[in-house]
Amino acid sequence: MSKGLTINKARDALRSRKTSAVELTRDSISNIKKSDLNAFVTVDEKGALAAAAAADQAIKNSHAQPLTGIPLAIKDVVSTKGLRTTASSKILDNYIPPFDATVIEKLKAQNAVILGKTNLDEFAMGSSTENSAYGSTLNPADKGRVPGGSSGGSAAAVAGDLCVAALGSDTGGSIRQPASLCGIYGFKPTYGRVSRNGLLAMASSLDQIGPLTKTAVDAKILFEAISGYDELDSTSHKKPPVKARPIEGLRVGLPIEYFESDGLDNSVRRSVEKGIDALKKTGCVVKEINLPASPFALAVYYIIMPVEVASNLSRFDGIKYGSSVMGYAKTLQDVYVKTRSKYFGAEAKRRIVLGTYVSSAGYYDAYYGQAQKAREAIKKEFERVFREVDVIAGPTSPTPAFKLGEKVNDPLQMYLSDIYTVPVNLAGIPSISVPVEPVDGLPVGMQLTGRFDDDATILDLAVAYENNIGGNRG
Amino acid sequence: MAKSSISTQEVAQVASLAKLALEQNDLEKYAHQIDEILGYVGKVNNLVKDEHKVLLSSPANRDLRNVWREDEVHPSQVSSEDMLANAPELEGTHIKVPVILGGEDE
Repeated sequence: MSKGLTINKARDALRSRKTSAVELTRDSISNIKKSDLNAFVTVDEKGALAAAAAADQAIKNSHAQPLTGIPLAIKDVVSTKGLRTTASSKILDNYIPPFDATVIEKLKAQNAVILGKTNLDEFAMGSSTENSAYGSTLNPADKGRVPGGSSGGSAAAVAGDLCVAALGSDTGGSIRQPASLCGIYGFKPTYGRVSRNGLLAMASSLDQIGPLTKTAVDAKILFEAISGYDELDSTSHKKPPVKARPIEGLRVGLPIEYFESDGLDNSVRRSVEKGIDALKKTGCVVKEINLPASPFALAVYYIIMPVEVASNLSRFDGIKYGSSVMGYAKTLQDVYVKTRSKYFGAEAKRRIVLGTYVSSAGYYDAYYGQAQKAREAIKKEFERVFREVDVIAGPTSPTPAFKLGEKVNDPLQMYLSDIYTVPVNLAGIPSISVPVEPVDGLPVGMQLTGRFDDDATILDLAVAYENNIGGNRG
Repeated sequence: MAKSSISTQEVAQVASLAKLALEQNDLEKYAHQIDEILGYVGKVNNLVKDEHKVLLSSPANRDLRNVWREDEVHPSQVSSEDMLANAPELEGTHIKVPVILGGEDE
């Protein structure tokens, strides 16, 4: 695949018959095989080539849709019918989903090509992709460093030109943080805008599926393809999306708390400030704002999320599907305990124990109850600020990509790399990470966050920003 | 302020509630790490307290409602045969499990 191939460029090449979907797919598969990034857990060469042939036929019959024949990668936490889906966990090592997630059905309906399933932190729990049972993914910008996580495989596959674009999932920053660390665009839509039917659940009040792409235009195309109401997801929105506001005169707020926080790397701050300058040139007006509750968000998140994790992961019991010690255990209880203890990785176990502890009888009020109140305060603070501004801009992650192994034994330090992304999930609002000037060759991201349901405005702003920096040559 | 120290015995107890058996060295590691995390997350109490009370008392202005649907049967896209294909052990169209009561662990 040619370097930097975008959805737009690939679509033009396909429609003008300069290339075929089969040719693009073969190129992608060959790049994946040659790559040492470990971005994929499973590559579906046969399925991808069959889909590509069908796409070429559709193009020939003038039935091409926006994603027809486009080679995509899917985070291995989204169910694909007949194609192994592991969540990068040994407990699902042999799991073949009997159905497609709604987002996959939508992609297949457009004759998009699914190349395979990308690596992640086990069950999307982590910020480096080092928690995968299938080895770490490497950052294409520096192979001694992490790609971020948990959608690190998707981010590395896009940045490393192993696919045109990818899907990830974002519970506390898992699309935006790896996009930032790999130098691409990563969009977390409004909670409820994209169906989670078929997404292996981590923390259901926070999880959202979204695109990782090389351009803002591509993020918009992929988002439009996967979004929409779905009766199979009870949190899905029926209301039509709101129209984008004009960029000229758009009010952009810069949270003082984000730019003055202790953990923010100075060089990252300078890069993001340059990004803000580029943003101003698109015609928006910038002002400082206060988000005093936001610095508490990570603490709130590390109570609410593990409680939901402990509940969601209780379904993995070795009885109905997945890895099991069945046949080696005498009692039902034995099957549960031995299966879970043997096949869950360290971070999954840590979060299950933490979540069970903070929601147990003696501690529920002190932790979970308080966290729910604090979450409400954070939501209301965003609502207050969005009466003054239309968009909030700031850093996506406090540092560029860190070295492999650097934070793996210090969970709290690892958690802090999501300090700017988690407030967004707690509030359910849309947010995109766009690349700004790299620091010593390492990519840096700027996060643009919008009102609840105002996905269109921040996508348009990202496109305007991209045009301004000359980023979208597709 | 929430209590922020957890013993290895508590970790083992909580783990067993979650159907996990942890090795002794894991118990010690987790106790230390979870203690550190609990120390950090304990700060939510500061937000809920004092100066931020005003945020909690202001009315929310959201057009969100709980979603209900009729309890009606719809045909599934997935056949029971496909659903059962992932089960570790089957007997006919039933998932096979070991004894529930009377085992040595009960």
